[in-house]
Amino acid sequence: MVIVFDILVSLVVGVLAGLGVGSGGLLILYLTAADGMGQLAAQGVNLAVFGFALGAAVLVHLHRREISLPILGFVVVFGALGAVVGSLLAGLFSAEALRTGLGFLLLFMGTMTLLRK
Amino acid sequence: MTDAKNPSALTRAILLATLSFAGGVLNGLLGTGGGMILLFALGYLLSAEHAKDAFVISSVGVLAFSAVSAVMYGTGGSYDLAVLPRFALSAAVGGVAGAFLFRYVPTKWLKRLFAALTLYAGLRMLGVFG
Repeated sequence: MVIVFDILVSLVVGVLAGLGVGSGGLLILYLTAADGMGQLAAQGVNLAVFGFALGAAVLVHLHRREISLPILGFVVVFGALGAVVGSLLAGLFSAEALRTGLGFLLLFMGTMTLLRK
Repeated sequence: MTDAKNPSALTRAILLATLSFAGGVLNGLLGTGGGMILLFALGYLLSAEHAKDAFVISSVGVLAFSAVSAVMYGTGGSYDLAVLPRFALSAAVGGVAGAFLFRYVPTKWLKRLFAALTLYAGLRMLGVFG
């Protein structure tokens, strides 16, 4: 039964990724609460699963829209460098600190989205 | 498609590079959240008629962050690669479905959906619902 929920939640996360809104940490929440996974492991699985969802979605998006390559290049190169730094830093913090940090970040993101026109 | 609102090309490049880097750090550190920083940056750099391009560029950026971080988490032993198959296929199918739905869903509903999800998940992370 658990695997059915795993598939359904992944499907929902994939649709949200394809819509460009992200998932609001939904998969991390599910993995830690329902699957009993540790915070760092759930973050890793979330990143990998998001990669699959976005990889598929981006192929469709780029086929339909003409996007500036210089902007994409900047975002990918500097973002990937940042991702290396962030991933190395992640191992230095406790699960509780990461969870609290993520909680406040999500609240901030949700509030800003509602407040912005 | 990349009309700037007003800043110079150099300012735009520095801003985009800095916020892309910050988004990558955040995504790698917390496993999510980098896309929001990118959307903020792109909202400042792109004109209103290209608002939907920001979602697509952000998606490409988050794909890069996520791929790099997922490999680093995986090679560092943070999670078991064997769990991925039961999540990855349905997530990819969902990603394609979402990308096709993208043109039919108004931007304001995308934002509301995103806000509702993030607020709920944030409160759960902080233990508000026990």
